[in-house]
Amino acid sequence: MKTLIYTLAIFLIAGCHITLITGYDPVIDETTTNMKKDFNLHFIKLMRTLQDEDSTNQSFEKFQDYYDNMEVNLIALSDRAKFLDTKSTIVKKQVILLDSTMHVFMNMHRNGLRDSRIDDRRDIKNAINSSFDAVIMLQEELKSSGTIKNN
Amino acid sequence: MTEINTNQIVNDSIIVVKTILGSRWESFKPFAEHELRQFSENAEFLAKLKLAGEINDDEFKARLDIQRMAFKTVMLGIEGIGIVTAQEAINKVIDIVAKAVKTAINISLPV
Repeated sequence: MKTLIYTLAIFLIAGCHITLITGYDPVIDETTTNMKKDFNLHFIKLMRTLQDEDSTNQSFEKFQDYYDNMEVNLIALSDRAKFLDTKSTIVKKQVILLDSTMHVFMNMHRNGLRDSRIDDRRDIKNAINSSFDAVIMLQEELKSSGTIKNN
Repeated sequence: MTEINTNQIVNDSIIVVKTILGSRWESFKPFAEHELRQFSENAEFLAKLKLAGEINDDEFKARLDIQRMAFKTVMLGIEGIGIVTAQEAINKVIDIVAKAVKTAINISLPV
């Protein structure tokens, strides 16, 4: 019992802080921010081709550059997430989900998107932006809580 | 088609998110409310497109998948912020107790 009290006293006197969550990574933060910008630029260009009379200008091949860059960024995110510590489970899960979301979007385009003036695909734009925002927002929170000492 | 009660969905979801965020709710209220409302509206929009025959089954399924995964990503973000909040609260308490203990036993150690 005495040992426990002494241990607790030392712990408190030394001002040890508890870490429940980690996962801030400047590369994840910056890459996700850039991916959001790239995605929105891509989406504006893609939508322009989906709301005209030309059914060929939206072909996947014409947008290959964007998807190649997207893949590179997703690999960078996954690699960084892999090396985060065990208290970063939430960030790791977010990165996996973001990767899957972007691949569903890419495959949808690869399978063919048809012209439509009614369907502006706002659900896709909103959801993907929400994903980016959620990752970025948590990164910002983890960054500002980084002043807490890790023990 | 039965109307989707977007307001009811948003209000019920807000109660859950409010519990997770605790004292930080006010700071994240605009973000949480906006996101929850948007997901409800997206679901309604997709349902209307499907019923109107604008999209086929495969596209409908893919777009619902995007919604599902994005919603999970947002909820994970909210959960993470909730944990950061709890972590900060615990550490503030530790600081207060440490200060009190130090004062009581009259020693000075770097914090």
